[in-house]
Amino acid sequence: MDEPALIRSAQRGDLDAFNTLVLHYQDSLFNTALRILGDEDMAADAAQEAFLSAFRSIVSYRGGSFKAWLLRTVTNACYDELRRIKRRPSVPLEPDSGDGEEVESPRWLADPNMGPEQRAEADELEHAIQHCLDTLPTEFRTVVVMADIEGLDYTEVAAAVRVPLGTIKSRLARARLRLRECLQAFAELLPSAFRLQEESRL
Amino acid sequence: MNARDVELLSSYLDGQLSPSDSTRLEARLRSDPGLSAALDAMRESRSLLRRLPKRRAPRNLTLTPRMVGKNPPLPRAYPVLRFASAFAALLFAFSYIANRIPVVAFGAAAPAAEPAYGMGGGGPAATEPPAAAPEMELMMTEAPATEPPADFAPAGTPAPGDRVMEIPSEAASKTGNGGLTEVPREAPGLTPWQMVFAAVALLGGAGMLIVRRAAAQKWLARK
Repeated sequence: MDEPALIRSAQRGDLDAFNTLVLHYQDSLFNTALRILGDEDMAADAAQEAFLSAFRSIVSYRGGSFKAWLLRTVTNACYDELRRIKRRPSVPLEPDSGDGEEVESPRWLADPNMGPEQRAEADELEHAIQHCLDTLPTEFRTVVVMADIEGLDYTEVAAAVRVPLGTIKSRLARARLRLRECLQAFAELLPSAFRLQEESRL
Repeated sequence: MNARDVELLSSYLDGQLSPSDSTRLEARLRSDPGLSAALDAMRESRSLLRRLPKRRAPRNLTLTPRMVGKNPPLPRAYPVLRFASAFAALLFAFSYIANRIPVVAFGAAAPAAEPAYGMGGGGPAATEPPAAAPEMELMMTEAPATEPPADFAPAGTPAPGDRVMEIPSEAASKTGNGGLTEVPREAPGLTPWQMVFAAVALLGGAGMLIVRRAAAQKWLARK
């Protein structure tokens, strides 16, 4: 795939060229949205919305990582979705502290004292990880999803989120720490032999 | 372990520390089992995230022309034709007016001035006859009869979108201008250059219509 040529064609309004790019990146955008939103339907809608918005603003793309540029649009679409959800009180994602201020980390979602029945519901490692991702503040979650799930480097994440590199480093560190704390509640799900096997390769 | 240490460990994990910071941290890791355990824990959670299955989009997220509210893509020749046609029409208008000015000045006849304005502004062809012979009127009726249908016919086909409507009317005004250029062909003052300009304007306008129509048909067929 000649990405630069496709981008140039798309910038001239060639929808076919843009759709070739869509096919190449759709899984990545969907997966990112899924990990940020935690819901497949919402993620598909957000990714679709992101591509639409990307097509409309592709003339403003000025080089750099195209994937990072696309991930920025999907992140914005996810934030819009999250704001929309927050406006509907029936589906609270992040509780507030009672005085209107949002709690930075809604630990109630990752309650380590949850009952065995509830724990059994999260019996898949993936669910556990998604559950822990959901407990992170949105901006932490976005950074960790981009860096650790989508494999972007720090510079690309900084470009996609438009915050300084130092902020990315600190958000990523704190997100990883919190994830670790959260995942300890699911210790029995973590593959025991995995720890050393995986890391011996790194 | 403070926040600074957490950040150091995280950056170290990604190989983002400077060599000197790395060396310093490695020395601390060797002497501090707590820090070393924290690094392992962080490494493990990063690995877990990396191992998350990559989910595929449940459907193709490609965009349809309808979704983007798009008009048919125009070939690159289109702007060239548009420019050539507009430029030729402009040149023709200027040279025509320039040729007519002495007549206005010396003849001092009011009706003679009108065609000049009429041409310059691409105005109604009806202003022409007073200065011209009766047979010119024949030409006038002939010209609009042949030109407009060619202009308006394609307007219906590439229906969706505003731009589609906009360009044919633009083309119509240009070929309309071209239509007028036919008129003075029999007038004594028309130079070969003027005829070239008029021809380019006309051909350019016609080319625009053809190109646009072909693009619209191809686009609609593909949908």
